Amino acid sequence: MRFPTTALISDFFPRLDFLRLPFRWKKQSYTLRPTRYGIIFLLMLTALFIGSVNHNNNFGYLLTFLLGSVVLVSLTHTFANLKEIFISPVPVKPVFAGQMAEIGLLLHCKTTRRIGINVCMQSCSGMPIDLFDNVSATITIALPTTERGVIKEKSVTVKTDFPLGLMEMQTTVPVSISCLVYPAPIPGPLIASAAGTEQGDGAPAAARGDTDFSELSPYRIGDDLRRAHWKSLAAGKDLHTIKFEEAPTVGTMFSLASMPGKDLETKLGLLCSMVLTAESQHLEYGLILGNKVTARASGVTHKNACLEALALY
Amino acid sequence: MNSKHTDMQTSSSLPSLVAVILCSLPHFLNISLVATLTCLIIWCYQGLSMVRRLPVPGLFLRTVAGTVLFAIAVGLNEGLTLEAFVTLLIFSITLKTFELRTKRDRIVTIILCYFLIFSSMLLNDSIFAFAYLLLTIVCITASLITVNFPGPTLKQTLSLAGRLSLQALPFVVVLFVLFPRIQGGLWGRPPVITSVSGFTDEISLNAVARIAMSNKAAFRVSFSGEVPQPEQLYWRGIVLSRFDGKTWREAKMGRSFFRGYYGEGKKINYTVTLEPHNRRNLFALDLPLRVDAPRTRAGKDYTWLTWRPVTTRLQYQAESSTDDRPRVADSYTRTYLQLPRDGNSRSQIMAAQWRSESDSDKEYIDKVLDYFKTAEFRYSLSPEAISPDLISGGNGIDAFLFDTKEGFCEYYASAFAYLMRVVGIPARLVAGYLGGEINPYGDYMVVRQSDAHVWCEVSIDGVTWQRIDPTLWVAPNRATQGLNAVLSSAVSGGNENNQVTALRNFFNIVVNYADLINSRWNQWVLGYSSSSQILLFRSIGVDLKLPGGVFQAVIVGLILLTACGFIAVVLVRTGKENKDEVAFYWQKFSTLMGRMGFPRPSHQGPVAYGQNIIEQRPDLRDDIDEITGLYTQLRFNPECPAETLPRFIQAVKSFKLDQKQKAFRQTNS
Repeated sequence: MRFPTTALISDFFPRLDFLRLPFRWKKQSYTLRPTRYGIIFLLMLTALFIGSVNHNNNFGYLLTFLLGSVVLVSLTHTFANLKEIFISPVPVKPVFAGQMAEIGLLLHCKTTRRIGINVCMQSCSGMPIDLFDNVSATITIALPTTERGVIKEKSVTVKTDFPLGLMEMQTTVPVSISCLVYPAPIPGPLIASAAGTEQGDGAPAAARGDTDFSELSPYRIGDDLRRAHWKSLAAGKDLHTIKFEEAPTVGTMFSLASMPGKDLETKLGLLCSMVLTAESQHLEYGLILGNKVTARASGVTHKNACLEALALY
Repeated sequence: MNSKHTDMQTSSSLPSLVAVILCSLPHFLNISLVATLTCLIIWCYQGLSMVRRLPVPGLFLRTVAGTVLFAIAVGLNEGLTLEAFVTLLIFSITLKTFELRTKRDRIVTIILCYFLIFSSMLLNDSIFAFAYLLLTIVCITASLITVNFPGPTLKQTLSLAGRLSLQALPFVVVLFVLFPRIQGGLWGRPPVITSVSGFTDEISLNAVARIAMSNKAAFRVSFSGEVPQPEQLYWRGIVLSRFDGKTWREAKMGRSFFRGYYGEGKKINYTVTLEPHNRRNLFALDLPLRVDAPRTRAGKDYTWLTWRPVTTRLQYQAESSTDDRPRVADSYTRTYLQLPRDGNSRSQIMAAQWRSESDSDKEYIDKVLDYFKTAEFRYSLSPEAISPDLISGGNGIDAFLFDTKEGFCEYYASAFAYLMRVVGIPARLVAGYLGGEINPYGDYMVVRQSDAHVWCEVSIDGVTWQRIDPTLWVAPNRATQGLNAVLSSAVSGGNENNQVTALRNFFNIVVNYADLINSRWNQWVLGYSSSSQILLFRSIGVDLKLPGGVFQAVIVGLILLTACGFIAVVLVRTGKENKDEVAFYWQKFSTLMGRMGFPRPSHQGPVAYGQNIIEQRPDLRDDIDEITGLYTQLRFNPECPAETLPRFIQAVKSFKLDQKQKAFRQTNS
């Protein structure tokens, strides 16, 4: 037999925000609210209470008050479970826009064991973890990213519904998180601008770009896997390898100004893709973004510097 | 799914199953055997499926099973009674245990279990049931915690659940005492506790003995003075005076509120605590002069009715006089002579003959009673059945008096009253209880359902009614020793060996104590009412009836609740059990050495500190090496074996003991 109540409740009150009860303790603000099981429980308790009143049944009063009080005093355990948790950020690996940013947080408590602690950030939360006293534990929040830039958070929400799972308490803990989000790469041909120049040579670069035409050929055993075109595999086709008919000259500058496309984000996406491709071909490349010029180089550090420049432009 | 996954699944659906079983158990006393067996079979299957993999029924099968079980539940209980409701609830929860795949299912199941617990209060509200329910609540709360947070061990979870309940207790007490009681409830109340009542408001000769052998209490009485003699303990409930040849019923008569009757005899005052019996009749010792219960009306036949059926335990005070007899109300005399015109011709002929042989009504009555005594009548709770044709033809009394000659009080009383009316003596039946057992530990009397009784009243002089109990002429010890004595002497002939007697005595003591505890529970907890609240508040100087009284009471309540909150918070604090034993015993060691003249500088590590001491006290080398060695192991070697900690504790303890003994010897020498 299905019990539709839970489904109904989760449909009608997905957030239950109207039942929040905020309070402050030692300069920190906490919020208390019932979970959806809490709602069912409270509804049941209300029904029993009305029944007890109607029958003027002392036995019913005793049991109703007992269950109500158990939920009430469980809040002291919830609070003890939540308070004095220290959070420090773990360095976050940058991601490309559209990917999930995995934000790691180190949780630590000095006093007693904590159970079922969860951290929530921008309405995304990780898997609840148990914390032993004086042993740090990591919780990871997968945060979807949509646009390039830096995700900056000054605080996260720590929450727990220990011990009964009926009431949830949460508090905000200051912690500075920043996560670099690179532009989403948009595949395209490599378009180099004139080497060493900074501006005004968009057209020649574009012309040259035509000669840098790259194409896909079916993958053959022995091909360099770093040149594999994974996207075609992901799209359900066979694996292809990127072939360059004419390798670019040693040392390429990619310039924002020489990018085709209408809006800035497309251009940055193209540039991002070019940086990745160039890096995978062990080319030396540089980046010209308006006034900011990254000198020609190669290597992971250089790639990351370029991508960061793209992300922050 | 791999085996590891199924392992996890079974281990986490186990708590829910345990919860379901625990809270269903008390219901097995009330629901039918078929339902009980069905549940047991399903649970066994699920228990087995945790050990080895068994197929889980699919949605179709579950739907079919649900429909069948619904039919069983309704069919077994003759419609939607409380028992049917409980059976349905148990069935649906039991079926729900087949769907314990997700956390949501488990939590919903457990919440339903709480509901099931509550429904058991409708069927049994004794203190023992409450104790069991408390235990169940702790266990169910523990399984709720386990389902949500499987991390902690079973012991930790149980202790947490127990602590939650302990913390909640002060709140429960304060809320229970202070929460305002609404007298009369919000709307109409269906009967709650369905109990087998020995008391009936209709008497006919084809009835089986409804009293059966139910030992349940009908009501409890505490006398404020002397307890009357056993043969006086007639508890008057209802007067039946309309007879249609088959059934005796109550006659319609006016009732009124009034203070009470006038009586000349010695007054007996007592308090009755009546168990709910879903009727309006109140019981009082014959002859009741006054019954003080709210909204109760007295009839001219000295019976009392409440305005609504008694569905909750009711306590009232009453005053009786065993010497007085009811007065005859002139206007109703014809009612007490009314008889059907036809039927029972043999009785009529015999009655007419006896009356003509007697000089007075009194002599006639003696003749009738003598007939009961000498004509080999037998007292039996399951008498030989009188054929329905005879009863519906209005010849039931004939069949009883001349053919079967077997029955219990209802038979004798109706036959006797009939024989009285035939010759023009006003007669009526009185139904109620006879007897009562004093609880030697509690100074009160229990009247049980098995004490239900029917007797007669006749009016000879036209002024008062005389009580005549024809059953006594058949079973003389019915009044003094109760029903059990009558039946056991009939069955076993009264020869029991000593062991059985000793066992019975022990059993009686246990029963009496249990009844005492339960009656106190009824009196103080279940009988707690708004008037008790008023008394309680008056004792602390708050008069609820004054305008500001309620406000003061609310303030008192808030103060008490705050105190409860503090208690709860303190109990959480003491719950911290993870103390660092290594640090504790190292600290102990350092303090001891400090006292011996080697305080530990805070910058010094354990090894250096140990060396420092050994340099000055080479005689302690072995001990100190061991202690510091173990301490550094514990602190800095993450892979040190588990027995290191007890060894360290033991080393510190024995070292301390050694030093104490040395110091003792030094002071002595």
